[in-house]
Amino acid sequence: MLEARLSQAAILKKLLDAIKDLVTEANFDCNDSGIALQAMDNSHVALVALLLRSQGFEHFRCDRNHSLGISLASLSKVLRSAGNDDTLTIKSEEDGDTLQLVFESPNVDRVSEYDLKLMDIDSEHLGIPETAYDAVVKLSSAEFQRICRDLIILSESVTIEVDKEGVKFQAAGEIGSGSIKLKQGTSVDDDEATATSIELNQAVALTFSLKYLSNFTKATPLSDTVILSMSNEIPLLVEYKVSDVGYIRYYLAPKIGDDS
Amino acid sequence: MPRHVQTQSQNDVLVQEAITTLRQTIQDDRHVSHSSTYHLFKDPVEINSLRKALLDWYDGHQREMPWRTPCGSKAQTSSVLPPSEKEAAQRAYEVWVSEVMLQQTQVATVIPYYKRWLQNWPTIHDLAKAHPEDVNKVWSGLGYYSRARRLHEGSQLVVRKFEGILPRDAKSLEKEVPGIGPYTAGAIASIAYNLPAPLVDGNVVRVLSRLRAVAGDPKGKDVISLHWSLAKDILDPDRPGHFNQALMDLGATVCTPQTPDCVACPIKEFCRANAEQRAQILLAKQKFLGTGNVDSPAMSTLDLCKLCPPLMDIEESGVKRYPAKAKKKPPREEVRAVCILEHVGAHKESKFLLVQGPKEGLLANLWDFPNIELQLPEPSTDGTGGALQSKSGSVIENIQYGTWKTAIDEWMGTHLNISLSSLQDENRTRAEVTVIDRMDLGSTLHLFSHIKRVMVVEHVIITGEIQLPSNVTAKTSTSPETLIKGKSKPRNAKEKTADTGVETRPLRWFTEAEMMGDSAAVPATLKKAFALLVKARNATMKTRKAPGNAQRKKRKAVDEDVEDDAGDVIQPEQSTPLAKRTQSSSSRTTKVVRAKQSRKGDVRDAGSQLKQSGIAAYLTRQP
Repeated sequence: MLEARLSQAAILKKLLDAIKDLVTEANFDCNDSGIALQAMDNSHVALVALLLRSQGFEHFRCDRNHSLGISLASLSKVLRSAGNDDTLTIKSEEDGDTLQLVFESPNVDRVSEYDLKLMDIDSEHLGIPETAYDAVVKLSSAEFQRICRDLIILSESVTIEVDKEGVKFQAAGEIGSGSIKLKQGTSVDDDEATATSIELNQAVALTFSLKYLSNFTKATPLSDTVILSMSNEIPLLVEYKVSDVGYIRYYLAPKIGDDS
Repeated sequence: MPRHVQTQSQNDVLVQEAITTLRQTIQDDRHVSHSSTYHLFKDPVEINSLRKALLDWYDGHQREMPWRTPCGSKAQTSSVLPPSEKEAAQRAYEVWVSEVMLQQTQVATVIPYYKRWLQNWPTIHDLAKAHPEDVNKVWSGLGYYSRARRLHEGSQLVVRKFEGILPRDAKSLEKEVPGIGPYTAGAIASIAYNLPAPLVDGNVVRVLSRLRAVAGDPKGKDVISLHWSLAKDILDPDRPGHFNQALMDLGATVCTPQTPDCVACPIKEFCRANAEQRAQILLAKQKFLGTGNVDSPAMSTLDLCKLCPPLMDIEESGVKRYPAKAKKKPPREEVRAVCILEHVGAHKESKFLLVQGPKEGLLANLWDFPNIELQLPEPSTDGTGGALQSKSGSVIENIQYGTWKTAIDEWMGTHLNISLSSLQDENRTRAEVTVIDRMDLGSTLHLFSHIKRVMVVEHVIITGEIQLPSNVTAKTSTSPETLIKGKSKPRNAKEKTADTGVETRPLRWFTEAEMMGDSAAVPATLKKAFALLVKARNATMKTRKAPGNAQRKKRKAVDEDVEDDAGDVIQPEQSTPLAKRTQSSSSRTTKVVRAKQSRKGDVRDAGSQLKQSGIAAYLTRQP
């Protein structure tokens, strides 16, 4: 059986918010090291990979590896009934067909229990080839969110260019064009931890869908920083660390030249 | 118990120091996370309790092997007398044989060979008299035959020079007997003669690097000497043989590479890696759950460690961080000429020629387009780097279509008995097989874990009756053809053995649907090459000479209509993964209709010339 306890239901709420618009249903793979999810979005352009390590939970027990097929929309709805400070416990039996959620208010005077029906989801496990990325940019997650919000006014796609000097986000559309350049070592709010840093093997320039990137920025509340890893002609990796206990990673296929 | 209290507090010290190290990594400067004393054993109290804990465990948990003398609870005799000199010399021979056999080979495999060996040559004198061929015969199946030869020659030298008695101390063993290195010398001296000689093998490296959190490359010179000095410091002076075997057994059974069983470990209280793991959990809980602050001592900034690379991310910490992975070699680079040979028949769908991959090795048994490795020029020495040093694609500038085309001509000539170059000649008379069109499709790149493959692709359309041999021989199809003059690149031994054996490889014609469907196992390299053809078809549809075949024309027209959309990513109602995107034309047409209906969730960028690619093409499928 699986039994996992989080002291704050808000964490799971935020995680769900970060993926539910991309993926409607997915298998949560549970084993003794934690809970993982990997799924492609409906149009097979992006892939989201989520990991929560067991040590991040207040209590974690998983006797045997199993997968929980869950409708993310439904789970998200059920979670709305939990208070942010509620303690959340999720339970499931290996051969059961439901996921049990228990919310307890901070002084345990209100305990609510929900059983969410599980579903059989056929999912193909796709491996993500390990790559040494040519450019790895770490920046403030709030800044990244703002850039996406600002540029989507102009175009549906953004070109991200990384060179020695910094990282440049450019968009051009019918009404005009715009670009935002961040230099290394600078930060919007003068906070060391969120300063922009760049590790570069080779300059890169890639174009991505802004609609998807904006979608990814729903993970902003989970982490102060976001890491963009890029190599030419391969998918972009957008990673948000979840408080040292896990991560949420988005992979987005680039837009490519079309000669026709 | 007072001693218990002591080790308990010692462990707390380790955890606190681990917290300091990790904090340093995540909050301050990750380049100065610990001093070099972090890797040393602390004091005699720690060393003594560690030795006792490990030897106590060994007495109860040792692995039994025919070349070992059991001790502790598993001892068969209660004799405490030291063995006579003759007995010790015999033990030395046995340990030597076993240790040489155990190099690169697992214990379970070695046991029957060891027994057979000692039946044939019970003493070193018997071995010295043996015939080399008999030695090889008994060794046969263990691999690395030079080990057998060195053992045999070594025994002859020991008999001649030392009257059959292996020298006692590790230094002279290493110096006098060829084939005995520092590890075997340490094993013989400590196990057979019970002398305090340290030894370091893969298991010991793992145990020690975890005990003292050594994150440097274990193949690095300084890290090697650190491991040897740790092994020396920790060695029990009274029972060195047992202690060394205990370290190795711990590494083999408890402190394993992937799934260390820390709970069962007798010396976990002394282990810095274990302490770091616990520290990581404490820190994570603190941050995630907001539980109380964790204290840690200030860091000593004296004598900073220069061996360990900085820990880039706290998620990478933990027991399995140690030992560090030895540095990987960069991938080999190769260029292959790929020929997409399309055959247009009179009244049927056109077909593509595929060759099945070798029985084993890279892309084993997979069907791919005929491809020929091209020989690259040697990397130039003037600092500009070799052809592939520059960005992929620019290498192609150095390789003209006309040049590698001939490599394909040659292959076709040898294997299919088709002469492509002469067939294209306008003055040909009544040739049965005709080349309708032939063009360069450009290049594409595929990365294997150890090979970076650039493929230069051409498309050849032929028609007419063709007699196809059922297979080709592997040797000629994989050997590099000479393209540009220069020394041939040395290829690694493994691949060589796979290539030199002459192996027949089946050839077959596939329709596009068969090739892209589930019926055949095709590699990503085929898909990438084919993608170039699809792209070229779209681009040249209007200008390219249409083949004299109505059926084909119609099919192409459908393709043109379809590719534009089906090549797009919008297939919301389509549950099959994108990897299978390109399917037969009939099923594709229906898909387009669907895609158009659900245009709302479109990700296509209208203003831009770019097209959204699918993610699946970049992923590998797992079972």
